[in-house]
Amino acid sequence: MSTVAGESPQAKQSADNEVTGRLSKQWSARLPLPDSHLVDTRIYTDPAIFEQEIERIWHKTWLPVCHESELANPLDFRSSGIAGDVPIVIVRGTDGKVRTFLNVCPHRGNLIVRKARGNLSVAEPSGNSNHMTCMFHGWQFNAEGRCVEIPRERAGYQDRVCKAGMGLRQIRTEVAYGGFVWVNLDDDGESLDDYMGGIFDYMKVELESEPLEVFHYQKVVINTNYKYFHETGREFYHDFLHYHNRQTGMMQKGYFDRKYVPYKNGHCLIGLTISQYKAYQGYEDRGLTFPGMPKNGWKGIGLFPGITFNLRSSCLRVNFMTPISENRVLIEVRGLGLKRDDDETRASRIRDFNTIWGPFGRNAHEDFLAIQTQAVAVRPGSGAKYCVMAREEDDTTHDEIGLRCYYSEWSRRMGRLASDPTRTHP
Amino acid sequence: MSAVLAVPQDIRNRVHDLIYESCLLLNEERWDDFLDLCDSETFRYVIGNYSPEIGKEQFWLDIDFAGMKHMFEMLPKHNTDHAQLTRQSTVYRLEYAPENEVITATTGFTIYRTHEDGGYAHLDGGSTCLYVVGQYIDRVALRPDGDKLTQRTVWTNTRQLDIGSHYPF
Repeated sequence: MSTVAGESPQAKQSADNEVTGRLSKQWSARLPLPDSHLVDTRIYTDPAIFEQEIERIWHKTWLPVCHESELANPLDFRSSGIAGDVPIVIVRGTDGKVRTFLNVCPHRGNLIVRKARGNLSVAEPSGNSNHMTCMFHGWQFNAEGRCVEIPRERAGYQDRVCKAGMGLRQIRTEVAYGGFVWVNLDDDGESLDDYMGGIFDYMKVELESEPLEVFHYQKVVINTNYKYFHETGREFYHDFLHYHNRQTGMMQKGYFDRKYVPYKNGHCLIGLTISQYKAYQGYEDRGLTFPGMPKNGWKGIGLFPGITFNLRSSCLRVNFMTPISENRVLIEVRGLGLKRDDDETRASRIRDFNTIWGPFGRNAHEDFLAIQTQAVAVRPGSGAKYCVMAREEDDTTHDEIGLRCYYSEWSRRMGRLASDPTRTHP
Repeated sequence: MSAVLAVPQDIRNRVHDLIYESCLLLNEERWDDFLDLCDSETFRYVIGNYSPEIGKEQFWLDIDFAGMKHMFEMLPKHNTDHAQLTRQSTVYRLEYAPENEVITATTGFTIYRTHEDGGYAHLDGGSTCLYVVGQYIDRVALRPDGDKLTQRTVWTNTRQLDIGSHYPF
């Protein structure tokens, strides 16, 4: 580097040290934005805040745990976990009713059902059929959650412990909105319909016209905060991440007209748009649709605290999450078609699903990659202070209203501001 | 076992060479060279597994030769973790249908993943982990002008693929 003729050494030194970015003080300073438009990164990284989220949000809200097609027959069961990994078992009784129980033996705390899925009529080495049997000491429970067998009950417990008082912990359960099984750990909270606040009217035709069936099930465990993944379903500014979405959407007429509509309880409706799939090399328009969906249509619903219903013309993608820690989440991805699909139709839906949302799809890998590296960037001590959610574009495609309505509800339930978790929510 | 013994040694060698070469080419991300091993008219590539959660076989990729070619051509336009996938394979069983000049080969494989920039490159870049365990079920057409893969079914025991991949297995 040469010195400009006549420039003093001091002046040159000053020029070399010119600050083009922000120094620490400026970097850490809050942007002049309202509380609704900023999120403090500590809400993604603080273990204490995570524990409070589990207690105040995940243990108090309705969460889907599986689809009824996974429990089609009496005595079918499905084990799962929710809300910080509370183990549960969902069982269809001989009366056809679906019930959910804590999958914990009231005796010594072992898991009662270990398989992901099965039918209670199949005998296990340690138990007879039609019951859930804890393999450890042989306690048995029927599909209604009653304790029906305690080996050597009288000999050991006399009258102090008896079957009548040792039923399973039952969890509120509803089957609704496209045949999904919803549970709520809070015995006294609002009803499922009240919690949804009518948002599913937007997909009533698509979800309720005829029975659905799961054809794709995928578990994704990522070291990231659960909220990052849910955010990807609530703003499409991040379509810049996806070449597929730029080609089939952003480059097409009407893309920027898509609307978000905030609902009560932090839910958000994601308006209909029409994708031009054939704009992506090698892909074709989607001839198949769901009842009520236009050709190539795409609409969605984002539910607080972390559920997404995404319907792209021929296939429904529903994501649930089980937050494990502030930096680890299990994401369950389901793909659904119509139960009456013939083989050819089903194969077509699966192909469509895989092009974007399968583990080898164009978008899924990019979304998961982005939320994984996002967690790296805001890990404690990295220096990241805020996430900015300040885009305002009349609630359309690149507006961040979907994020703001989420964090408004988050702040209300947590009693602290997402923009500054040290401050109380007014 | 009898099927293996029934396959003539020269054919066994040809099929082994083809499958091992396919793994090396995929490891080296030489996509066009891999496609040269596949029959452009009939090739079908499927990745599937059995899900005990829904009690079904499921297929996560099912494409033909043209679909695979498109997929490879579009890779530079997509964001990726740039992880290097290393396939270790052993051909275990060959079943020969001489009348059709077709071999069905069952190959056990493991895929190791060497991380690059999918996480914190400063910390994780260069580290390797076991990623996938499964089998290739290959159909090989025996031809005087060069044997070709007509179908590869990648059947995985592993069902958790974390962030997934834009690369075939």
